[in-house]
Amino acid sequence: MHYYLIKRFGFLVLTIIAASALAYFMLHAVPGETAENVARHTIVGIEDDVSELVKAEISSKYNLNDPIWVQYTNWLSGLIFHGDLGSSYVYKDTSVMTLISLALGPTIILAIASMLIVIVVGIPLGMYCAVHENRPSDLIVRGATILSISFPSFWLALMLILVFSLTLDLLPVAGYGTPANIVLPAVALALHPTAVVIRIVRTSMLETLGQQYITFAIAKGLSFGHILWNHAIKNALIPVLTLLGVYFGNLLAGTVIIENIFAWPGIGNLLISSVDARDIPVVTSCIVVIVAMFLIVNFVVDLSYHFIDPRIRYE
Amino acid sequence: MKTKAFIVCLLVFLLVAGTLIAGCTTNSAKPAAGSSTPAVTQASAASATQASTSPKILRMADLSAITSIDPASSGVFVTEKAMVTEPLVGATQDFVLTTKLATSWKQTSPTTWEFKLRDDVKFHNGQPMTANEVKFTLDRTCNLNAASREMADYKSSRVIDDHTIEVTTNTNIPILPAILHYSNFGIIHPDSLNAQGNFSIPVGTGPMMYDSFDQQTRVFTVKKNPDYWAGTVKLDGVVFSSVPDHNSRTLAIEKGDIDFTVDLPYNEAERIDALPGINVEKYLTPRVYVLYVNFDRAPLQDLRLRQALSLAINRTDIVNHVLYGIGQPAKGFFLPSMSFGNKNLEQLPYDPVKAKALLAEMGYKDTNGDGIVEKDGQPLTINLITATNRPALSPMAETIGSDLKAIGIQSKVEVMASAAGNDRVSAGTYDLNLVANNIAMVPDPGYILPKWFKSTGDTNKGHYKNATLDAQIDDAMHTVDDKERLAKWNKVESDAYDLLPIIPVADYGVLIVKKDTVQGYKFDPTAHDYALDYEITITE
Repeated sequence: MHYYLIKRFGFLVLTIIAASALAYFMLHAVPGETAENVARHTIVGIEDDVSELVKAEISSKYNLNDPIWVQYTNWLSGLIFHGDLGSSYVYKDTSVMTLISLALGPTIILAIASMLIVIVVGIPLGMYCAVHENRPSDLIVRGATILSISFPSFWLALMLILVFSLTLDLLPVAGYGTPANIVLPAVALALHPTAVVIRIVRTSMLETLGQQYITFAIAKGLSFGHILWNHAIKNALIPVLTLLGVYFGNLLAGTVIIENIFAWPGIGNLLISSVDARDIPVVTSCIVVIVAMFLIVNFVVDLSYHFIDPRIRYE
Repeated sequence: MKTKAFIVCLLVFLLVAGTLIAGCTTNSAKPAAGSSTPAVTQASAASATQASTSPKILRMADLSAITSIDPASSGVFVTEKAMVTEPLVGATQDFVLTTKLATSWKQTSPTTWEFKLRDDVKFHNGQPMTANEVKFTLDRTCNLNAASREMADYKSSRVIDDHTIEVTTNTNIPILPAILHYSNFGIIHPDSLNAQGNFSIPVGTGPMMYDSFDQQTRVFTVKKNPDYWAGTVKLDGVVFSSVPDHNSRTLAIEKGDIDFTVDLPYNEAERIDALPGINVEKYLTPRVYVLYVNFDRAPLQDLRLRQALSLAINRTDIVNHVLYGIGQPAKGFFLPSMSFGNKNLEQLPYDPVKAKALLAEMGYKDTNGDGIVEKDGQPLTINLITATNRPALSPMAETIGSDLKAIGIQSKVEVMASAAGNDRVSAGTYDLNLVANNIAMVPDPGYILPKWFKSTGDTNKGHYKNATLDAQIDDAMHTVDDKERLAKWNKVESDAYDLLPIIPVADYGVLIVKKDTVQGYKFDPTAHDYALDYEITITE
């Protein structure tokens, strides 16, 4: 177990370094000069021309004339030895660390809210469908999941705004700060994974219910509810857990489109605006944080298998 | 509509069913995130989404996040929109300079200017405005913002007395007052910096003063300056938030979450305008859609081909159908409202027949009957590139492409991210580049004409070279007499209009969307997108 943990941790660190290097170097491969983009997003307009003098000044200020690997090593050593992610080229008044910590909160809150919807709605509905296999209620829910999977989230988001904000006047259109603000983005984000979870839970549950030990339990005279809660569910949830881990990781990685539509100040919004402005320290740091969160969530999910099914051990 | 209703029913069903079932089956949702319900408590700036009651608070939604509140770099926001700082020089609706914090100015030598300052202006911290703070601001802005320093060719400034300052430039810059109108030169008090000398909050002289800035949501609020020098400020405050998604912004004003915004999707303008309580106004801003011509491509060096390209473009149709009437066909290189534009220039004609004749005169003929003209067996191909950063660019480029096809030119239209477009321009791998260029960052023809038409101009990326025009521009740039200089610029403009080193297409329009309760708003055409002033207010 300890060996496993150490191995996983080493893998996590290596992955983060690799991801940051990839992000750093790929950003330089994208067309357009960094100094020019930064100038356009800070001191001149987006499509205004940037003179050589301005470019030179920005380049020397942020050491953009150094070879890329030197710039990268400087950034990485800052991170490793000082825990410093550098400072933003665009948000001049803030360090990258502050920017990310400010953006991380809203992203985590939104991810947890959506995840709660997915779990609270998806798992029970999936079980309900499995127990009521092929009855009308099962068919209706399955039909609804198909629809929910088929519609893109940005369309659903706009429809939700149209109905709940405009027509029913219950919730604000966009923004951040009050509990009412979280409802629509959380629902818009949750719809797709909820539908998938319903289907997976249903399939997995049906498979489990067909196992011999369930038949044996029924033959023993146990109540169906007892069988469901004490025998079936733990086995049926393993594949669902993997899926939930992936979805939660995705949600934590920020959801660019939904954050944009709802003007949610999360990490997806920060990332996309920084990519536009070629704010390299911010982009690389965002990617590092996203990768780290994704890996940690998956790691936790992997560990949790053992608690659900003690037969699973880590060597 | 039926589909919508169906979806809504499904959504509601999903939610209700989920909650019900979850309620019946206890303890089902224990795993993962066991951390209780999301506690979204971000008190303060939440007023952005609350209805305004007795205090007159205007709720604005901007397109992009407020990255900085330092006027030296974000003057457009802090000076023009938030009204916290003000420049020395103002400008009227016709782009004529007026007094603002300075009462008069004169050029005392080719490289020095003397500005007299108002003596009744107080900063938001109660301190009177003197030449010391003006010097502090000019030094600071030029030090931090290379683009501003370059534009002004700023050397230094000297305090003569409390209300007189002398500004020295490296070369003769006759348009220095116009440059000092630029929003990055909004005057601030040294109290704007913290003890370490870093910028903290803008302490200006404007009708609104800093109230709060939420680093997380980037919501910026300003409150009324009770001591404003120019008059009584009618609003109690303004809340600036950003809603980058165009559809969300439309829905937010429709619902009433915000009072004022700009630039909705063009096709939404009519629908929103028809809604009760909201009005949409269309204006022209100092920006034009133009085609940059690549003079490194041999055929484009022929004036006849450039004329043919211009004649092929149906500007009226483009404005009506691509821009939905938001904007207007270009008449010269400046807007009709700009006093310094050449008023004798007419809209460039649309005449495909004449365009074809010009091509024939150049020796292009359709020999193989495919609808495309050839010369020496080579079809005439034009590669038109544009960027995605403004909504109308891509459909406009497509339309121009089909206009060119109609006169027998094989057009290849490519739409890309602006950074990629810049690379293509640097590499010279394009024929025409459609852009929406700002023409009056500084309200003077001496701002854009040299950039565009001088062989060494910053924006002359197509490498147009014309010694006569170069000499005319140099002459105009250094003419001190205002009238004489203007006449020279008018000549440069009309000569360029004949030579078409750049092909103008249309003037840029902006949509101002506000609730009927917003009163006293005057559009400022010299601003970027929009500017507010102390007379705007909101009624119950």
